[in-house]
Amino acid sequence: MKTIIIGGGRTGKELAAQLPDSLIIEKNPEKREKLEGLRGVEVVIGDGCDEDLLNRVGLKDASTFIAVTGDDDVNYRAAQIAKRYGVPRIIARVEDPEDRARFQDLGVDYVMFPTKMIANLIVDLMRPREEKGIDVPFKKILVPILDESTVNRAFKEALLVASVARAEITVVSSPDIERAKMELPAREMGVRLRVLMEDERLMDIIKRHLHYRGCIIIERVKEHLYYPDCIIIDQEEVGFMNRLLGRGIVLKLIKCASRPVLVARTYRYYEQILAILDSSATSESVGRYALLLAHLCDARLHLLILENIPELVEWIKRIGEKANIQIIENWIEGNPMIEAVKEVKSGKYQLAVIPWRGTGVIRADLIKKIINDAPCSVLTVV
Amino acid sequence: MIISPYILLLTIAGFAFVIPILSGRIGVPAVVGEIICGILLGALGLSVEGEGQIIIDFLASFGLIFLMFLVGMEIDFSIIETRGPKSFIIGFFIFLFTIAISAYLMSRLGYFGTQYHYRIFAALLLSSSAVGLTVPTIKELGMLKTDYGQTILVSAFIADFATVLLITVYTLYLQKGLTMEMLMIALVFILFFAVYQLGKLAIWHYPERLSAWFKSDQPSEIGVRASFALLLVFVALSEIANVEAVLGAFLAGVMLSLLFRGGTILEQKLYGIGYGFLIPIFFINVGMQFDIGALAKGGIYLLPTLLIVALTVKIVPSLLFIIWHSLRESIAAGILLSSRLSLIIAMAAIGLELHLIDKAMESAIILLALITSIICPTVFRRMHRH
Repeated sequence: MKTIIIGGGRTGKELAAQLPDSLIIEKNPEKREKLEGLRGVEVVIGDGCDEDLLNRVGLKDASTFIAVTGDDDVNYRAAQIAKRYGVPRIIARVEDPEDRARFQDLGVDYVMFPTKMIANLIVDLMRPREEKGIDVPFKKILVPILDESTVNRAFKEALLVASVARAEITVVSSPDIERAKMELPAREMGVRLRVLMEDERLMDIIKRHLHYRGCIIIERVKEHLYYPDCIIIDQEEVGFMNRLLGRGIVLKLIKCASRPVLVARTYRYYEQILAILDSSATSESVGRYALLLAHLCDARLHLLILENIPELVEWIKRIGEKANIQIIENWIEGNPMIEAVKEVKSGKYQLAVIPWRGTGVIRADLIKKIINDAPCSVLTVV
Repeated sequence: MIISPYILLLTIAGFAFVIPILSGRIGVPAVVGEIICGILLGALGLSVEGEGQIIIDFLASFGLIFLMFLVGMEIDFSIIETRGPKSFIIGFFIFLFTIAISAYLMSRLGYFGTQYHYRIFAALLLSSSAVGLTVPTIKELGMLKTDYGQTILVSAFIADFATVLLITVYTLYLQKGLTMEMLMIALVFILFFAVYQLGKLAIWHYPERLSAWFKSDQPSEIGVRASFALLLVFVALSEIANVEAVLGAFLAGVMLSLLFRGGTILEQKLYGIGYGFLIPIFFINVGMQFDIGALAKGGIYLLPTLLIVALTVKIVPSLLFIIWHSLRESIAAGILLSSRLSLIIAMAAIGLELHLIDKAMESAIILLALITSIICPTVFRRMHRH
């Protein structure tokens, strides 16, 4: 199982250097010499969109396909072929932000926007911290991995978020999960990864004591003197009784972690983010995190405004304007809870940012329901 | 003077229209004005006969049911969610102390009837509070989002909720004894829980349909219809279970609050129907039935003692507030919690119907409600303005 890289430019070369056992396809024969200097890297000169060539170099057996040429069309066509051949992981570089939708429609696992990311980074660097207003900490992400499937879900979403936020991921995982399954994609995405391999006992404790006081994950992480800015966790299948009693590991985690917890369901970059706002004190945090993620992912931010809070909305709009975020306001008429459910369930959003517990206008039961059953990823904010 | 029921209704409607304007100017709750007007109408000897009286009685008793429904809607469980269990625990202990002191004082003051169950019923009556007065007073002083304000509100909610529940259990016990029928109350609560779960599922699965209930442009007023259906389901079930209908109405209100808190347009419509028509009929009728003779014969002598007990049972337990607040604030909280209004009058009406209190006691309780509803919030405001 190998990695195929299309494009031997600076990015492709750097990638190949970090991923031994990879094959690089480059159109320009003049670059062959430079690329062949890389240890363990096979170089093929040819067109990355040539299906026959891709077949010959073993596309069917590739574990990862990365298209990083400077031409969006080439990357698109190459990714399209890889998709058709069922390559498990496809990563593509997109230069023109307008091309983003077609790449995402294609079902590419990770779409990188170097132009946009660099522009955002430069703008961020130039702007004083206090002026940005969205300087919420988002540099340390914790992903508790309970079983193998998490690697493909919560961890995948964590990688996407970490790659745009330039954050470090710490994984708490049991030893039977292969490290390489996490390390390889992290390296490909340029994300720093720390794996805290725990003994089986930890996982047993987590599973057995789901509903008891204290949260083992957090306790163990504290032992490692690691305080995450955000925890990203898989959604959970909650049984009938636990639903009635409002219990579950995710809910427990949210309650005892007292930091933002993101329940992953989207596994792709966020394009439309929903922030649910009311007059509670948490709404400002909801706004900040929603702004931050909209800024990082270049997403549209939809504000669902449940109460008359013109100052907060104005503040969010002001910050949004400075950070070049497109903001859509939706002042509701009618019952706030029903309107919130309607929006969350509309399927328009990839991420909903909500308060972590009932605020008076939004009931705790509804928050739990959104966390457990929303069709999109949910970030709960303290 | 015997008049047609429509003339009486017209008189009531006329007063119901004028009273809020006048009481607003004087600075007393509209309910107080309605009862006083009722007393005046009664003193003038206005009455209707036969079927007409049945209509007025039905409207008044439905007014009581609707009043309890709206009191239930005032109960806001989200306070406990947002503030954590602290206020709930304080409120719970305040109520426990209130009922203990109330029962003790009632048993020591022998003249509230010779039988102990009269005293227990009176003790339960005096344990109630007035959410309807507490909420606007706290709101007016800008304390709605403070720990102090929230704890007072939660204490008032608990007092009202527990009083309705305990009075229901107690009256059922007196009527039937410790029988299996007591379990019927549990049945009402099981239904409550089931409807709540169904309601949550309905919100999650059919938000588009439910959304229309709370919008202003609904010609068929589907939200109002659904609320009435919910109210009547619980009232009818209470009747079947032999439980006081007011408990069912109260629970229906709590349900609406639990499921749709903040559905302001629907709430406003229901408040409009209740406070605009049905509830004034109840209060004016209470005033009309007010027995000045019974008050003169015995009720007036009960009043000073009742007043002292009513204040003591709230102010002494409220000293628990001193753990987090000053002595002055604790006493002020006790004074505000001492105000009684709709609930105590409604419960007294039930007590009278079941012969658990006599006319003298009922008239004294109505007078107590009138006095405390005017004085207590005023004293609370003054204590905080200083």
